[in-house]
Amino acid sequence: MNRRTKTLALCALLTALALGLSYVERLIPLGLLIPLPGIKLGLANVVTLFALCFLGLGPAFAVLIARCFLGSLFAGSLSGLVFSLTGGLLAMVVMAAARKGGRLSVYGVSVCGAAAHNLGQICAAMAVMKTPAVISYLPALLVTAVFAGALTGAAAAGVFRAAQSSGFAQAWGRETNGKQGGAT
Amino acid sequence: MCALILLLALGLTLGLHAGAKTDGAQVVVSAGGTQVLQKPLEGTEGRFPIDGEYPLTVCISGGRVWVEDSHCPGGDCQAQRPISRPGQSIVCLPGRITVAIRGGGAADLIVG
Repeated sequence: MNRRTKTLALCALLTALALGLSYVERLIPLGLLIPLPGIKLGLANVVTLFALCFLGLGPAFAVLIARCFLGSLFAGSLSGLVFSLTGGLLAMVVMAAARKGGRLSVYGVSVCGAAAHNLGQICAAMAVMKTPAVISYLPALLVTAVFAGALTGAAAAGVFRAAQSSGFAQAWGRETNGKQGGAT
Repeated sequence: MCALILLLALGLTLGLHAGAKTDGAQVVVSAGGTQVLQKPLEGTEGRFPIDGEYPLTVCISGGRVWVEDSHCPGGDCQAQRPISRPGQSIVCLPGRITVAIRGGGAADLIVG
């Protein structure tokens, strides 16, 4: 199996995993504790972060787009697509930039991604609702992003450790000529 | 990084609410970007049904505003605590309905 096929298979697997995580987090009644529209843990962000670190920006982008479109399709409504796409894309761009900076740990990168996701969703809400009033939710969403981002960062750190200890990271790095696999 | 984000949240909160006065504040309800209701916050008592894809009822009483009987799938708008200060809002994303308080203060410049 060549590298391109393996990357494609891994992307498909990650998309399925992200969709599964998105579904699971809907079962967590976070909205009952913090009644804010659109609030969630962002577990699928762990997958985006993994794809970004191990596969690179292109495949991570493909996984994100597939997850957003399929997630909206399976949920039976395309109205949420603009929110997940805007938030997801901004989060990925910010996480890629934060990771490239090299000063932040996986926790820091994850918190930046969570905050960017919420910012993107507020921007999408302002465009959809045609009013700037929704910005009043941003402070509360940014505070929750710090905690949700740290939580998903911890999950991502665990996944990265497992990838290192299982030899996946090294094997993947060798197969891709050392281009990727530098997730720390 | 966390401290920076928390500081940003604090700054935004202060920016949105600092100097906002409830005197002359108005409750403004918009559906799909179109204003469908405007009532003074103080002195208004009542329940106001708002039509749309997901109808809901806006309640104003004692200088506070909240949402009841929402038909939206999530019900987040109904779960939110009552609002009472200019700059605050309740949003129903599925119904594209916004309930905002506009008042005489700095918040007027931000909440349109």
